[in-house]
Amino acid sequence: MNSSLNKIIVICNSDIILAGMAEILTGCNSDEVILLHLSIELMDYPYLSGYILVILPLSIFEMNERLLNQIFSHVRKTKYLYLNLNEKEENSGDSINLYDNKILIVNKINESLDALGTKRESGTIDELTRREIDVLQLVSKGLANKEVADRLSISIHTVISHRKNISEKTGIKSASGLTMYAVLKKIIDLDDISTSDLI
Amino acid sequence: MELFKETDKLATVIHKDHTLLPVINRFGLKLGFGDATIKQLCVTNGIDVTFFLEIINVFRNENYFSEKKLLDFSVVIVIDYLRKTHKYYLEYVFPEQERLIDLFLQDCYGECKENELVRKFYHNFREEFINHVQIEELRVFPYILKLKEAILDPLDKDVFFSEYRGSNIRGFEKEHSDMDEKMFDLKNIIIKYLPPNYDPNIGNSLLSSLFMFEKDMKNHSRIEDKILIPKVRQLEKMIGKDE
Repeated sequence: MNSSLNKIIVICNSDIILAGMAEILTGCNSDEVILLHLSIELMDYPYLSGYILVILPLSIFEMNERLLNQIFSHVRKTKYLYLNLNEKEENSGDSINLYDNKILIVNKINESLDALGTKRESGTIDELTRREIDVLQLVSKGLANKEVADRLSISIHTVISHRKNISEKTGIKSASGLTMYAVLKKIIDLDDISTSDLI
Repeated sequence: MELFKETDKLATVIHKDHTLLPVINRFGLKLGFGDATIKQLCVTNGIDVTFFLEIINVFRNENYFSEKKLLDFSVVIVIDYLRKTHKYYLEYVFPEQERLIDLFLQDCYGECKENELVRKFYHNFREEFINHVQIEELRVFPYILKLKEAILDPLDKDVFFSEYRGSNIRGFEKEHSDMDEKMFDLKNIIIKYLPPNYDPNIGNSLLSSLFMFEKDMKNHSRIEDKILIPKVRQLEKMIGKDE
């Protein structure tokens, strides 16, 4: 089941752009978003599978083409969307521009996801992905974002973006509210938290 | 949304929005006022009619805020209203919600261990809230009232400066959003996720009480953030206490 999920991977060496993309991607139909500074960090994800949409500047793609092909060799389907950093440059069919408006970017990303063949069923809004469940499990046991990142070997950006997605899907924002949700959904055991102050 | 005016009958106002009942009580008004208008009732009860109107209109329309008008009020009258609101929460709302939660859990059937979490969540929320109220009552409000006295009387000014050297309202300000978030989460958990193994009528009463309290609490925060604090900043500037 896991392999039919789609992931978006954004690779860009700018924190501002990554944070901005994370914000915009909350409006997209992706199951998981991974934010990276460098292509080489993909080596930390040896088990990538399913459908993957990669968003990165064209120059980064050209420099790392071999590495990327190698890493994605086991993935069901990969698609690239190039991030244009130059305001004046025209978009082609497979690029977005840093200066495009949000709705345009979201539409383009969703179209690309559809093209990958992962059209999402409606009504799955509060269903969490495997990775989101991992994050929720640790958050509801009281771990801080940094600790969650270390434990799951992902960046703190990714943790924050997962937490945002979790809150959006569940409608629960506070840490103690998420703990309560996790118990009710049997994501963690009541005994794990009953003696603590997590709720 | 229409605004209430001083010529409106208070009875009509209550028919239009009964959630205003606790608000008018805070001004010392009780039911049984016949056909009296807002203005008449305010005059007989010694209430500042403009302030009364602003408060009920602010309560009713989240987006309504004629900040200019409200800034004309003395901090004394605003603090008096806020203190009465605190008293209402502590002496009525919280004990009532505790009673409802007892009933809510008492009638639970089947596996109820998880439902008990509602009580724990609520208690922690309440503790945080009471803590916030106490800081305001014991530190923030006295500071503001002394500041106001110091402006009127040069003798008080020296005392004020020696007592509150290094303090200003910015240091006291605290975000309300945390508590708003928790109250929303509690409601949402009951609505969306808690197993419904309880008496639905009691569940409804508890939820209604939480909804009403949430509305009141947000209104309370709005008055603090949009009237009281800007007003205090103004006073701090007057006395030369802004950094």
